[in-house]
Amino acid sequence: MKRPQDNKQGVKGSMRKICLGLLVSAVLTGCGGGGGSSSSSTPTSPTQPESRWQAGVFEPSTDFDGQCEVVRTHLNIFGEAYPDVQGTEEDEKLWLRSWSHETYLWYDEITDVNPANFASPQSYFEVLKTTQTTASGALKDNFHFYESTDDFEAFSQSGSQTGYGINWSFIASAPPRDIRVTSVEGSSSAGFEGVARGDKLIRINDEDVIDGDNVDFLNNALFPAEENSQFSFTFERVDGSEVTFNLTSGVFEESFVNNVQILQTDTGTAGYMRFDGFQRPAQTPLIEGFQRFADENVTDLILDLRYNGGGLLAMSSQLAYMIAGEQNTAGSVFEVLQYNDKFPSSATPFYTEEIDWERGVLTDNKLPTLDLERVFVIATGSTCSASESLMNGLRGIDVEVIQIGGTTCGKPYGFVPTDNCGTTYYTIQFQGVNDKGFGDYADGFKPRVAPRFDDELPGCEVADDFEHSLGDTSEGMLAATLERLNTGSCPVNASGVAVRSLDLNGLVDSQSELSVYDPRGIALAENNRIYIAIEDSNDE
Amino acid sequence: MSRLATVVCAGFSLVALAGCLSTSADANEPMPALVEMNSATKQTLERAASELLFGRQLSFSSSAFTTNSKVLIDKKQARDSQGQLLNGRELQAEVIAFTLWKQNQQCWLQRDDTEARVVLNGVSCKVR
Repeated sequence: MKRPQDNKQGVKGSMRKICLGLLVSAVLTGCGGGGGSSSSSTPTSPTQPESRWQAGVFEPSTDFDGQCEVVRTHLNIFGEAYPDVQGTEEDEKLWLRSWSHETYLWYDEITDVNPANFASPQSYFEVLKTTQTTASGALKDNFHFYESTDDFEAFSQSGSQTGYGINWSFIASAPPRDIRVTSVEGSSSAGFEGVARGDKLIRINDEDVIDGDNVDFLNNALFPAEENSQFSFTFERVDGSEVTFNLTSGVFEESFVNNVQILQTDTGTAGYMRFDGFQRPAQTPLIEGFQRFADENVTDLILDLRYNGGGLLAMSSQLAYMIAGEQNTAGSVFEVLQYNDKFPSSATPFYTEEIDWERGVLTDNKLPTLDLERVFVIATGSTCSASESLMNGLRGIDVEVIQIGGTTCGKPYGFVPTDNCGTTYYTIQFQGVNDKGFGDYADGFKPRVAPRFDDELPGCEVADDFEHSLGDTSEGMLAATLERLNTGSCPVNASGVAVRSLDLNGLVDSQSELSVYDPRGIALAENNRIYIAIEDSNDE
Repeated sequence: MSRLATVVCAGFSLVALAGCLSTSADANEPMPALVEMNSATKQTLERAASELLFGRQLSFSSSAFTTNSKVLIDKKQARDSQGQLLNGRELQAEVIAFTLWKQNQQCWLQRDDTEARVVLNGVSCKVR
């Protein structure tokens, strides 16, 4: 088996390759991925009378690479044939078993059960994970998932999505449902029609959203897979009035960097930015925003990550560098990716230049920096993954992170998606730790007035406030941030409603306290949606 | 070496689209954009892009290629019903660029990494 190489090496010159992950990805894929060679594979009979499974004995996954019950005949996006040869369902299961044993972060916590007891490779994959729990009692690994490789290989115009342009919050997804608009993309149908943050969805066409039982209709209407789906959406506005919009789904361009502004504070000036995704098209506006903050000599930064579910780890590193600056980051790493004991760790440096993503190289364009010793981060349960890397990476170099809002999702882990026989599997393969070696925040980062544990950060618990626009200084979370910044104290009574972004168990959340969105209960997504998002009252 | 010197021909049977180009770059006019984006143009563009992606479907926004000759596409990322990423810690970005070219009054769509092209029948380009 080949072994990953240290990604810190070989990064020289003005056109340094963004090699982070690529080497590891290639190597891990080589350990048993879909791109692997089939030259060593020996086609087997489609039917095997006896199981080849032997408890505790693991053949190399390369022995089963691309041995498929159904051989793919179509070409990949590069016009190449997939490396499939005729095999059996058992081959696919044995590949999963060996690949998991080689690459899964907690491979020694997998119970080695007979794959013959499972109806499909996918159902077998579901049990190839740890069943241990975190300190809070939550399952340690609820991030295990797979999708079809055709979906995995799908592309879309950069920074665009198909839909109405509404970002929803499911405060209660089971009847009586409470579904609110969190934000609206300006270049979308909803943006043109005037849908606004805080609007509560009460009807789609004539179907009652709050108590209705036509779940399939509601899901189809809410999450259109295609363009030109037309529905009539009726909302209750925050002032109690009712308004109806006829919305048509389409491809709209997302805006990831929003509400960039300079705010006067008691101690100087603060830059405010709402940043919704570490996606490639975000790089330019992100740099422009920080250049403006640098030009205005801001003394504090309020980074609103409440709806930022992550994305590119390298962009998270760039952002951390722009916040902390050269001196604070010198000689430190942003995040170390710790694999299981069969692979060495690899380090993500603080990237100090703009990235040419089309070519996969660093450019000569130095990033602007603010050289701050502290940052205020607005967070919720939707603040996840690369967003948490940012918070953790900054803490690793002693930049104080003051957290306002709710507990983050708790995902210090990552994957190297790997294809075999038409399914792309995501099994946790690494944990990200900061320069101090800390990465144990599987229960999320929590804002606390008086933090006691390493995953607790100084800050204030505040609920999302749908009654004000994002970026409005009266909005509950931003107002609390400014109060904390100006006075050092948290507001006594935070405004807003309790938010539970999505409850897949049908347990309607109480309105009494801020709840935690735990995305680890997520089921398999297909075509970028989950079919049980809207729950039937009969499921309760 | 000219980017167009080694044109890769997809080799597909093209129904509405004329086929691959393998001629000199000299006749190309720089940086064209669409004269008009309408539903027919959008469909033609998406068919061409699908051809260049070996049958994968792709949707362009209504502003694609209207002010710029180049459009980048990224891997779609698996999301939950709220749009939350199911991965969220991506180690790389896979990007493919498409560029409009104009040659002999014909508008062509090129996939830059393979340099394969298809003609956009019925679509007008203008040099910006």
